[in-house]
Amino acid sequence: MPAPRPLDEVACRTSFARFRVASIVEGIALLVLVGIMVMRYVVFGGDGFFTTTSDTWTQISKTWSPIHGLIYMIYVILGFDLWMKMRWGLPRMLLLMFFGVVPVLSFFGERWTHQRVESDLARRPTLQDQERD
Amino acid sequence: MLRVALRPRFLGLLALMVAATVVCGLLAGWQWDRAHDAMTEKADGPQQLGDLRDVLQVGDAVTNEIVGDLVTATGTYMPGEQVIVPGRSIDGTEAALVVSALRVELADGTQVRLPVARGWLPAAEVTGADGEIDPSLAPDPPSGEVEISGRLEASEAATGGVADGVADEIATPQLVNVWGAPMYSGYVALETASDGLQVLPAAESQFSRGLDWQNIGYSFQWVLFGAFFLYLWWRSVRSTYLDELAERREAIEALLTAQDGASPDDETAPSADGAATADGAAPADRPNPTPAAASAAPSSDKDV
Repeated sequence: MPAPRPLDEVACRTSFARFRVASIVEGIALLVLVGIMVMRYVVFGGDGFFTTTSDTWTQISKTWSPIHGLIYMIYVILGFDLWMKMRWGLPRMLLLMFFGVVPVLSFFGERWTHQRVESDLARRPTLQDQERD
Repeated sequence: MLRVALRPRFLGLLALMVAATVVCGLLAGWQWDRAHDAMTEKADGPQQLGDLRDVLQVGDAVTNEIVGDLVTATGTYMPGEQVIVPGRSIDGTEAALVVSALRVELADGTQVRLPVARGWLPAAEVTGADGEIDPSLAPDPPSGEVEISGRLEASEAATGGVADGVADEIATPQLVNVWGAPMYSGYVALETASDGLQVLPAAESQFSRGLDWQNIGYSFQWVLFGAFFLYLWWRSVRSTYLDELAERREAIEALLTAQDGASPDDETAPSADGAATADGAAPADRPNPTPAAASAAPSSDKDV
């Protein structure tokens, strides 16, 4: 088993810092979206499924949904950046994307990702290790 | 790189990614169709929907699906229940619309009012000597039971009120206060005008009849997402390939260093020598494999 390629520790930590902010922002944005959906379809729900009686909440929902979509895309792009820098396998990228679509999970996903980043940086050789030699 | 891509692990991941891309493609198609909904629905021109009582329930909104389509209704015009809606411009003429209440009897015997835009006339014809709009100058609706046919339109948004038979809009929420409930929530614009009135052009509704650009945008977003999955797969194949390539090169360099560093009378690594030649890298190909060059990391892993 040959030694894995060295990671760029500085770049990895920078990417993770960005991803961490995106995780928290995405987590909050998703909770806001869920709150709006509850108001639109449950609190002011109509007779059928996914019908509403509130024009106000329909309007709020129509405004926030695309904004949340944009935030999620930024989250995916920053997650992709981190994934590339950390040289992780493909399934982990899908996992990072999955963290962003389940309410509240992105907060825990961010902590889990932090642990993976730290353990990988400690375990795998980095460019900075070689400079220290 | 192809040999890396054809490994079972990467083929399996490729199948997963292709599935995700196909799902994204279906979602893109769904949004694409939604963007064209309004166009395809109205492409055939107005539909003949028949009797209004079968088309629209009292209190239901006139939706995009039925607005502008043709309906018929039978009833009697209510004497005295007529408003003038001035301040319109039709073909460059200052126009006033004439809207009358038609009493329609439902199947259960309920009397319901339906606002009927009977047509328009130049505003000058209904302007009195004092320069104000005089509703009494407008032609009265025919008496007795009549059958009307016209375009179903949604109520306009109310901004002003109804005062002395003059209204700012054809707005059922305002008219219901003057004429009384129950009332349909839309109005019918007559196909053929009479009594000196002219036919109203189709209302410029706030409903879109063209492409919905938001849905077009969503459609392209799904295409992008689909492409992203395939790009992810290619990216992971490439980085695996490059990693392995760099490892092989480092292994060879390490072997060459060991060979050069070893003194000629101290042959401690014959197996390493054999491995290096087996890999196809002749020692002579390397001009100056110093220990420093070998221990330094490759300057870039982007391209090898």
